[in-house]
Amino acid sequence: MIAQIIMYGVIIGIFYALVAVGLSLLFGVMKYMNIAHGSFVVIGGYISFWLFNLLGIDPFLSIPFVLVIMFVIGLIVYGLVFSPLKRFAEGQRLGNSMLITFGLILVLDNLVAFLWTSDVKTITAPYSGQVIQLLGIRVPFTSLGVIGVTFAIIGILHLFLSRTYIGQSIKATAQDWEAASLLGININRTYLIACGISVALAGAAGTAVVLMYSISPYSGLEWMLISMIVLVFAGLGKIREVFLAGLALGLLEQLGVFLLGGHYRAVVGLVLFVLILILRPQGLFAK
Amino acid sequence: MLEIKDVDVYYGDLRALTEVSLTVNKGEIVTLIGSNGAGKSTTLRTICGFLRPASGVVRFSGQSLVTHAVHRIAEMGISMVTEEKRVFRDMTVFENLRLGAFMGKARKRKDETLDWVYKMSPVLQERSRQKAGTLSGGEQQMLLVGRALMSQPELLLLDEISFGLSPLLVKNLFKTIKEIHMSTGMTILLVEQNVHMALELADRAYVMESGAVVAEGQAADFLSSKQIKDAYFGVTTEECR
Repeated sequence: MIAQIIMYGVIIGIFYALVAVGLSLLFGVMKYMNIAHGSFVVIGGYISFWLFNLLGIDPFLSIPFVLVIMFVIGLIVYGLVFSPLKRFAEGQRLGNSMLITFGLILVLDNLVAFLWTSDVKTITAPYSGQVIQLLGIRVPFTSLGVIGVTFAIIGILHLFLSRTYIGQSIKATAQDWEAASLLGININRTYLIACGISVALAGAAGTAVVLMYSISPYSGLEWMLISMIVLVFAGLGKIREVFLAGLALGLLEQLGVFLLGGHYRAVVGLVLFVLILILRPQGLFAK
Repeated sequence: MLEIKDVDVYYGDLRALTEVSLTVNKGEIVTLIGSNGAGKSTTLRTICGFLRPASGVVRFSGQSLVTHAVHRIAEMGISMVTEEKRVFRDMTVFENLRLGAFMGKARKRKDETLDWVYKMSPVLQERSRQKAGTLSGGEQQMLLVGRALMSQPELLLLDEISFGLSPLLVKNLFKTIKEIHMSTGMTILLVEQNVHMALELADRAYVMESGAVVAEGQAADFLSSKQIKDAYFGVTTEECR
């Protein structure tokens, strides 16, 4: 029983890390908050849904396509939404980024409802519902796949950030954009790429959502909330800590469900969210 | 090589620079001295493109700089070491240096340049795998100089690199700068509070006061002129001895 709870906590925790990692990257690099992050998660889910229904592409195999499409959408979002924010003084940008992306939610959610109707959608792949016995614990096949995908994506992201010049320039810009620009790094281009990656990561998380749960046009806020809680656990803008933070949230949520019942699942995260902001605003895992 | 003419710079309504003019010729070390708030750092930040002059000319190798973004000016061959200790703290010493060679031209020759920087400052090689944030103040400043050199600049701007360092470290740092200049003939524009050291290193000097250039001349003349020393650096020169 306990083992089963821990296993579900780990699965959901790793999935939460995938949902939040894009938002953490965006905030870490640009110091902008993208309230519409959850809506991009949902759009990624719909793209997978479409690829599966129209072209018969397996959702796991659709992830590379989702990443590319969402990356391009991310570039457009930077150009239309974030780039104009540079006109404001540095202290006003964060607040304005929240306002403008809040408006973006309304646009995106209604666009999604227009394109895919407001019915709840999910993907039923041939292996959906199959369960693997692992040391006497039941693990859904799709969850195992999502964990594998998350490890792969976070691993590739880590390699990209630490091994390539572009990745290093993103890290440098996040730490000190003035010093980075003095080295010849084009800050606007760095922001553009970071925004593309952030939205692409949200899209990949959407594929996981449509496999493990379901999507509907107005469900983005739920994933935004999860991302915010993970970010506060990790410390704002910390990318490496997101993985641990997701795990912590997943495990604590499952523990809460076990002790208090399923109705209180979301409450656990939100209460911890407030407590951490009061007691340890730099994040659970920040040094 | 670098020509600044009648430059006015404003912070909002506040005038920070008034008709500043100065030139730096190829192969020279020129120093900009003056008290706090005299506009020395503002001048450097204007050259780099962080600040836009309201009027006047900033030219480098004949090209105007005033409309270019910071990274474009860096690509033209100007590198600045900033006054705060702005290493990338979460990256290793090696990663910091490698980023110095971000630009295409320097990237091709980064291995040679890295060998050279390590030879100049062996402590950076010893600590190459260490996070830059764990270095001492003097080592961080040396890393900043090394990182700027990695981009193989034609003009090196040094902004108060002695700030907050012990006299011995400052001496070593200046010795290294001198070696760099001797071996490469690199053009250097140096802003310093440590007037005595700066004048000993430099060929020529400009004195700034309240955002304007009030005197210019050979560095050696400033060093020997007691009157000028007392007028502009009275206490500071005493402290340097």
